[in-house]
Amino acid sequence: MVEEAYQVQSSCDECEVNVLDHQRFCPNCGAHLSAEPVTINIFNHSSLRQLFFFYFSYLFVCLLVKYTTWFDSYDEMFWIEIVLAVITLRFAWLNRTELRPVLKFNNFRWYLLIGVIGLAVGASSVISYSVQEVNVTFFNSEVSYYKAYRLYYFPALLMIYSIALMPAIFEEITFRGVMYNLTASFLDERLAVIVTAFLFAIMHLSLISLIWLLPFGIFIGHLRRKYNTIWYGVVFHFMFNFTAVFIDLYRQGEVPSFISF
Amino acid sequence: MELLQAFPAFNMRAFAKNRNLLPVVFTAYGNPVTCSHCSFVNKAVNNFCTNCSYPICPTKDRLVLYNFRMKARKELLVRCENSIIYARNVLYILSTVCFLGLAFLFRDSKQAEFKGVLMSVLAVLFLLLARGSIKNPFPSLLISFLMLLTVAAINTWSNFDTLFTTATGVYMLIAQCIILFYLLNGVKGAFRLDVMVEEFKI
Repeated sequence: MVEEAYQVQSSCDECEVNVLDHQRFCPNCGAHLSAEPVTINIFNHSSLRQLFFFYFSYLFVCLLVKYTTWFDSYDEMFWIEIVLAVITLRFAWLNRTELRPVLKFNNFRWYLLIGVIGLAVGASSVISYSVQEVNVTFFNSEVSYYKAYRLYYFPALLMIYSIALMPAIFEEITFRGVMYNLTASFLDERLAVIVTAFLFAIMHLSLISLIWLLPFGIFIGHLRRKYNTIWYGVVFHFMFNFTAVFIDLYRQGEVPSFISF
Repeated sequence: MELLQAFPAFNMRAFAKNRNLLPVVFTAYGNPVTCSHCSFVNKAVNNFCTNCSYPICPTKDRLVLYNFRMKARKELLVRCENSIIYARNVLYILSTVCFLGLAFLFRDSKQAEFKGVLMSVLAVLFLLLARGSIKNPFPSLLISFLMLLTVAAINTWSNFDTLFTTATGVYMLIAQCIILFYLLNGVKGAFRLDVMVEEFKI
């Protein structure tokens, strides 16, 4: 009797008999008490709906940047970075309870941090040189980030802020923070790592980049799952992008001025 | 151990003294009844098991109702499985089409070779996703759907001028819609299937 006092009562939709919260089928008519299988819909799932909405907001902004001529200079791109940061913070705020534990630097180990940094530098160097080779071999062109920033004061610092720092923080909060938690609410965590890695890779809107972005995403997702923090991922992401920036500056002969600064 | 010693067999005095500590099974509705189908403990007044909906006292009309409901659920399960199979077949077809892109490797152009490499990567990816959908249908089809939706968005956006005005553009649009339709159905089916299979396991 005491046990039943704590149980919420509702009624069966078919025969309107009172039923207890834990019952799956009506004791009177045998009807299913939770959502009928016919009404189970992917779009009724709040985490999935939020995941879709978040992903497509991000995708829309990225497509806007890539396929319009409105954001050709960093003057406009600066505002796009702010917009993406605001979208991320908005969803992070909505999921703040689940996000708070992973924003702490849990399981901190120096040797692991050094390993992550070393791996990021090594992987980024290999990929930067490979991409350069691919561009020169197949397209006879040389892509440089520096050209877009050289009009501004302290271009090297601006590049680090825009290419290394902002994406490292906000993409990690987005993919390994919010999206990971949303995905893990309806999937096994290992599958959540893979799904978020795919989302992260395709968000970059380059099919050939999938080759390295997919392992990149899986690796960072694995760090997030194993150590329950996004900070190893942030450090890895930052160092990866920072190395790419450094190599780019080196190719443009800007490293001495950057170091002297 | 102390607690166990406090309850020797048939020690009614100790039972009366400590009965509030014991788990409650017996209720005012009568003796509990075990379901003959799933062994769940139900109240005797129940017509159907609250865990599996099998009739507690299997009379003919209750069994008919139970069988009818089970049949409807199984049919829905089959429909979900079919939608997953269609989506998987779409992925196999896409993989095959991308493998045909290997032909680009034999053209005498660096860019065509690059396209060939790209198509091979996509072919392997679609093949892996299709194979993955056998074991884990929902995540595999969700990834495929989101990936193809992104590709479709890129394609639509980048070729917006020609998409509605040329035959190739229109065919491309129709193909995209068909692929996305089957994949979305597959994702929905896989999601529903996961929920239903969980329920069947209980």
